[in-house]
Amino acid sequence: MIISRIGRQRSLLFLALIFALTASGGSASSQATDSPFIARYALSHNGRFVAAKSVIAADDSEANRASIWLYDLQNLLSPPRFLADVHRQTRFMEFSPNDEYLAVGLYSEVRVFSVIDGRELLRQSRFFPMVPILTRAKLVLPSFSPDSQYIQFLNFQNDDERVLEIWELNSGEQIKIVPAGKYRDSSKTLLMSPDWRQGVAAWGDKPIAVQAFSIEYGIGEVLGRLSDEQATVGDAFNDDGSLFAHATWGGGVEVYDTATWSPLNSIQLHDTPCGDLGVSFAFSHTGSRLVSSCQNEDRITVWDYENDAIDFITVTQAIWLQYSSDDTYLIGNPVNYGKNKLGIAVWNTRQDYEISVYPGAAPTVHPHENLMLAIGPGGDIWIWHIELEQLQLILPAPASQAAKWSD
Amino acid sequence: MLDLRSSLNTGLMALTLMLRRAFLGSFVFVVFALSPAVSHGQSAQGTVSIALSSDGRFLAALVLPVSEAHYFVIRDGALRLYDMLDLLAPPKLLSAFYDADTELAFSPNGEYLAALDERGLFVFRTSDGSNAIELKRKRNGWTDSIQTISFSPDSAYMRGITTYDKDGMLLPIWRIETRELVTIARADTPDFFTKVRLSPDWTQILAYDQVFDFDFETGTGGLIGTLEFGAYPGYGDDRGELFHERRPLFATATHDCIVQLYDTRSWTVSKSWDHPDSECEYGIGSVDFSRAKPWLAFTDHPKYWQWCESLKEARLVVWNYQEDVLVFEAATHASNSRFTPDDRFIVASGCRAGDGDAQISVWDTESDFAFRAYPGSSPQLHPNSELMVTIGHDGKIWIWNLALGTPVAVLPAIPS
Repeated sequence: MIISRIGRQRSLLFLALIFALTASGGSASSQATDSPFIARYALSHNGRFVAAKSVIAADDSEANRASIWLYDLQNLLSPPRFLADVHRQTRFMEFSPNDEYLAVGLYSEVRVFSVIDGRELLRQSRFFPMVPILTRAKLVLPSFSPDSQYIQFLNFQNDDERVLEIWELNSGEQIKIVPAGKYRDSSKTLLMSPDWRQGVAAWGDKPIAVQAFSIEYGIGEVLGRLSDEQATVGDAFNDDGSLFAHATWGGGVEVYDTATWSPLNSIQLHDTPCGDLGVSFAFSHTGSRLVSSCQNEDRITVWDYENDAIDFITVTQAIWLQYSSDDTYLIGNPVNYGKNKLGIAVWNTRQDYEISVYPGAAPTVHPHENLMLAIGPGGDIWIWHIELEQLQLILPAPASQAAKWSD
Repeated sequence: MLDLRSSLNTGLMALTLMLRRAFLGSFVFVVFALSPAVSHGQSAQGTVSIALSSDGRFLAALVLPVSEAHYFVIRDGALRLYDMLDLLAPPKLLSAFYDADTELAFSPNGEYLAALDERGLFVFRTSDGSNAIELKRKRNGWTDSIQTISFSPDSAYMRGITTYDKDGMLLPIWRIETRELVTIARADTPDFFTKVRLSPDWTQILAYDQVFDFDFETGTGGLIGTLEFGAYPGYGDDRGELFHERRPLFATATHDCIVQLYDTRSWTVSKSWDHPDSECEYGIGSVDFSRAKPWLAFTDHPKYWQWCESLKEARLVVWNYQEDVLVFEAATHASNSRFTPDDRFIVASGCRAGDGDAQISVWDTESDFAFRAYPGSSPQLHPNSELMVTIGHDGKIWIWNLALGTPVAVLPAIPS
């Protein structure tokens, strides 16, 4: 399955190989018209569960339907558990920090299920009257509280007003509505720190404010402001929320200490403006590296912000950038200018970013093992052992290859 | 006559017989009847052979590269051992293997995996993959013609069957942990192709049409019964015969496709089923007892060289031998029928109608024998009766949930 393992400078060979790969294998979307396939999935924080959205392509009457299934990686001989039928456009899937809940949603609906028994604990829908369901983002970026007891999401009540809704999962009750300001662009979001104590008003008024947050009091005092005047194209907290990375339209990147919101370092990381389509960011789990990939650039940049060192991986841009749990591997989905995914690339950070290429898309690194999950060319979930570079297991899309024909 | 000789720890047999193994090789290992500790199969495509331990814990898989012309390529394959409780862990590589006719067998307790190929006999410990026994074939010696293997019920011993002696068959028996050759029993058989069968408790041997009691540790035994005339192996001898796991019954079939049940306490025919029509052209291919019900399932036997075509008119019959009534009958392209441990499903391997692709046929006895077909071959039945492991058309290993009819996992064929 591994196409190539090449040095990081052999970009042309890499591109040729992955183009050949996509010509032969395709992505998760190239399916027989009547076969279910997995369009999206999420891995729990403990690496035990995989939630997968399965869709069936062909039948027009089923065009809006998908279903959510739950795989237990510690009990692989049991079939996946059906959770719910959902809208085909469901885009958001995330496990709570304690992995006992799964939130799924699209722009108009948020649903929360118990992972233990599959009960639906919460279902909230918000629609603009007389407006088609998907034409306006209403509910944005649901996130769980650190103790997994609450879920919050932004609700755009109209073009200008937005509120932060906080719901308690045990009771299924809304416990707070926090005014979250007025913004003209409905795509703006409030990025919460992992500990839910701070919120960054990304895409907001400049300079962007960082405000305190609590479940009890809502959005509070301004703790600091991000220094750059340009539009934000990407931002991220590190694992424990002690650092915050902020990328702007002009290609600059800053790293902040979230205790004081003082900038630790900044750099013109990208030579060209990253544009409105943004960057793909990832902090390493240890050390001080930040990897960034920006559209308009055929390279991935690895920045050591403590030592001011830069490494380039000369390849096309990539999305879904992430480090393995011990930072040995950097994984991503290279994409071309049309944002078509070109297989999965795994770079070995300890061997001069030597690259291995895998078929499929949407890679996710297992938190404990040197395993990588991805959507395989056939629309199933493929689990790779990236250290051994071998395909370990395939989880078929539910009801995809049932024995339908008979003698 | 069964002549039991004990040759403790010597391994010396001054036999000077003609090498027969090469001739026999073309007739072996197409199908196997199920023994209590063994569930085994081979791929028609030649890429993988699999076996599942009786506790369902371990899965052995032989992976061979296949050329574009779909002939077996004589270069290293790999014998790997999966832990079914931890499928995310890489399988253990036990050894390089390249013989597509390798026979695989687990001991009843799952502690050992035996592999018999053209190089010899290899027994591995499933705990760590180490070798317990390695017996290379020696030209012109009896080791060169070992044909089949099985473990004793307590998993302490292993026996083989060789055709080294022109007048009969030899049954070497090893104590596994000490690697000691305990006994070489000899069974005089008038027909070169005769099979020798051991009862599940290793107390009886059936050789040709004669039955002997058997004490392999002391080397004593004597004739205790004779099968009826016609109930002997004929051409091709894979007509299917089986001891019941728990009851004193033995099922066999004559050339004329009469299925007979023997009471193994007296070796008299207690029941028989006469195949009702003349389409049982090549004999009965397989028989299997259900565990709890008094049912026997049997299917017709295919021609070796026209596997799919010759099964066009085959039939699956389920017989209640206690009440002597037909329970179920169906035309099928499948043979080698077996019950799942809970008796719910009958699983048979064969072909898909018309195109020759390998197919597994499954009947649900609790749903009026509802039929479902699965692509692939070499079904291995899990002890929980819910799962079936097969070799897919793609050469991968598929794990199916029989109740749902859907796959739960697919294991890629990892090459050497």
